[in-house]
Amino acid sequence: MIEQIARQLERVAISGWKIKEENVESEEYFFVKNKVDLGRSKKVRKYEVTLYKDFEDKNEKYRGSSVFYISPGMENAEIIQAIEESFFAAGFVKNPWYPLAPAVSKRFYSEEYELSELASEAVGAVFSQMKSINSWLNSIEVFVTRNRDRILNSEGLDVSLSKYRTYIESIVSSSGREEVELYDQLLLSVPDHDRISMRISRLLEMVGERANATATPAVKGVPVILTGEPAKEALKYYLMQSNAHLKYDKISEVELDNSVQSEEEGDRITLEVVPELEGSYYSLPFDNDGLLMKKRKVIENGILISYWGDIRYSYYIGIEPTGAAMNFSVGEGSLTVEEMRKEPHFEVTHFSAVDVDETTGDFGGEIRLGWYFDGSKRIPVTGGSVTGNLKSLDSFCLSRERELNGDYYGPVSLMMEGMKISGE
Amino acid sequence: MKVTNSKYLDDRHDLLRNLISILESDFPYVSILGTDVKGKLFQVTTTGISVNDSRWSERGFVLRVHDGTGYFEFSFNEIDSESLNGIVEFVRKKVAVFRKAMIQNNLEVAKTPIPDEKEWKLSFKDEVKMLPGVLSAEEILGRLSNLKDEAHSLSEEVINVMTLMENVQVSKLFISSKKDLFQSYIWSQGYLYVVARRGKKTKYSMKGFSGLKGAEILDEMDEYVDKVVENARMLLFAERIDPGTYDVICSPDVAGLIAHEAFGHGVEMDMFVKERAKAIEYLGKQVASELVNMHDGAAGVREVSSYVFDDEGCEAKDTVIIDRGILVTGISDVISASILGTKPTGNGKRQSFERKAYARMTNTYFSPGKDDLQEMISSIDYGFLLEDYYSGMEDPKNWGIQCVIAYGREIVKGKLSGRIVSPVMMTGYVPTLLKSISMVSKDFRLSGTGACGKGHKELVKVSAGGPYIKAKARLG
Repeated sequence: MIEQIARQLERVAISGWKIKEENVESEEYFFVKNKVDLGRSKKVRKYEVTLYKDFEDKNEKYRGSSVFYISPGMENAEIIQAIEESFFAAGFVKNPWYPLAPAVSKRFYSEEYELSELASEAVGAVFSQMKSINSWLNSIEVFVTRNRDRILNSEGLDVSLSKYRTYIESIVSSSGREEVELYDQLLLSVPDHDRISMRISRLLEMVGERANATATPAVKGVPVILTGEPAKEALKYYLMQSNAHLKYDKISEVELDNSVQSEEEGDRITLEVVPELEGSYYSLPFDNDGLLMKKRKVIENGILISYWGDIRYSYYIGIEPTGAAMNFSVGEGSLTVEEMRKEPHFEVTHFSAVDVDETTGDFGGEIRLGWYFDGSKRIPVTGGSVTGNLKSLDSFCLSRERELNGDYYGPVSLMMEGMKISGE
Repeated sequence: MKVTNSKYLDDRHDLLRNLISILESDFPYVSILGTDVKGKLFQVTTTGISVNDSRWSERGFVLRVHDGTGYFEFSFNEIDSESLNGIVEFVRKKVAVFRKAMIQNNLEVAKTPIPDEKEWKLSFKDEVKMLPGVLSAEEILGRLSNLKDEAHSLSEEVINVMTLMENVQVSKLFISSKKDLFQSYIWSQGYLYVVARRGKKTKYSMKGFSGLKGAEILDEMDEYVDKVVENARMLLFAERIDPGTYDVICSPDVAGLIAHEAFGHGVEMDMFVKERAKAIEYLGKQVASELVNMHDGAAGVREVSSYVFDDEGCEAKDTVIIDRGILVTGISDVISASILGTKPTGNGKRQSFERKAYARMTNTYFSPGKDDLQEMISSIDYGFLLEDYYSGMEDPKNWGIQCVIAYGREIVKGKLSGRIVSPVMMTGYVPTLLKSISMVSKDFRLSGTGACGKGHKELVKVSAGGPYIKAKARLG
């Protein structure tokens, strides 16, 4: 069908086109405790077509575009209508000109697996951890997916890949002072028995802590340590400050050779965009334009040394594109997690949701599980919130220990001063 | 103007009916949902323009079978007379493989009753004032560009503007041995989004527009540009709030966020099945002040999540969740209702034909009361009027609240002082917040922009809202 679409596109006086074909197959299991509630399977093929139309106005070159979707079984007349409508619309999309991904022909195929066997392995790994007395698996969703994607464009690009993805959503419960739960998402490429069972085991321990947590006290003047997911989400703010699109849109104010951090004391960030992280759900050899992805260090010792971005926005700000990166890594810090925990502090591993605003730098979240250490004892706490702004911190420290977490390889913990803790 | 039908679904109706007939020889229950959702998203920003198919666009089918023990589903988007037998064989094989995997892992299949459906035939086409195709891309982009230019002309502190309109036509077909249902309707949404900067401080303000409407939604956007610019600039003066518990008045948007996040998610009855909802312990008990009445329903009001039947072929309802402070019932999908022995409430929704159906909210709101906003402000010695929001997150098990509110206007001795705090994080325990509601205004407003997730995925369209409410809340 991809050739049929390309033929129809060539009949219109367009300046360029791109077709992305996606073939998605999945096996899905939905559990309540250890009973499966529903099994699902998916087999879907779809096409995303981008049509480009160049024009000039007052000696400036513009490139209009429009994206539309084609589904299998669409009649020829309907495809022609979609092309004509998009061709008309693209004429009013007055964006500065930018190039398409250059001609490359490359295949990236992973080892082949039987999808149902992978799904069964993932399920087995999840339920290998049910030994805790007061904590248990409440509900689990397992999705194992095989993606086969191909991107072609009018420049002669033809790249394709196959990729396996595993998504496990876990709700774990525990009873103590009251019955409580914690939520977790684990994203991997193929199922990794050890990583799945370790993650579930750790989660069962953590929810046990929450079951005995007391209400967050109203404390002032102590540093906040973010561990795990919240640390990753906070560091993503700096990744986005070096993004070409945000720079072009004037949302990121950081200039090259200037600091991405404020005047705070402590560690300076070193950050890279990386196409491939071992076992990452997000690792891809090329982005949605078909551009082969590149690794790039963008922040070194807190200083912005380069931007990263897709082909369009990189062209607009005059840099070589890296591709729309999905993974990033952050260098280690100066303190171990144990050293961070020596002085009084407030540590959070689980928020209801971590809210980091890439435009304003505002940070906040309701605490699901944290610990308050007053200098003598460390008690688990829940409720209340941590709020602040990443542009106005007093100090910033990264842990020496690093971990792989989905699209991120970097410090496990981040310690900051200048945040407000709301509690009872 | 009447919404058109879906040729794609019409053309495949008999084939789908045939597929059901074949599979019924193997399975005691078989149904198919067919979807044909198409739309356009027009967006103009300070730095670029785009006209793309809506991200909500989808076309395909989800087949659901019950094998006498439980359910299995297959999502696909290719079917013709030649591939029919292949689909039948695939489903037979997959159900067997799925059962075998459970045995290998020493896991059980939950026993779920076979649905007891009643005969129902329906063909519904909604109406809008202006079908989306009536205005050309040139006209729409021209109007959005004018709004963007107007925002910039109002202040040099405006550094980026985004104006957007999205029109989506939803057509769905549901077939089982007893049901043959078709519906088609259009929802639209629009945004005005303004980023302002002064020195090192950057803030933004946003106004959303939504409804079962067509291109006429553009008319509503025209009169709000100056207000959104004014708000974005006002936030540049905002301070951070001192954490504490305050008397607050929540605007209809914020009240809707509380209804949705704090309470709505907790009464989605698949959470009852999983024993994840504290609400189950409170059925028939007081959870809110006597002034509080709360509804959810695709049938009660006209907003983006109003429809005639849900994604499991159940009739839309208007469900009273809280009646004068008493928790009456939850909202349910088919599987949860059959396990709990209750009736489905028409809340079985899917992100698309590719995803599972869950119990989901539709249009969730507090009913209006008798108070006047000005009197509500006058009644507060010190507190905040909370307006607009950025996000929220549910905690059905422990009834915690996380609402990120855009800003609060300080109230001192019954008057707005002019001081602004932003952003404001509202946290606390749901019944404590709802029981503290002491005044409810006569106003009523729903908003259905954006999308709602279950946990961190499964996005669906919903709306939420209500009147102004006065309560006590912990802010940080």
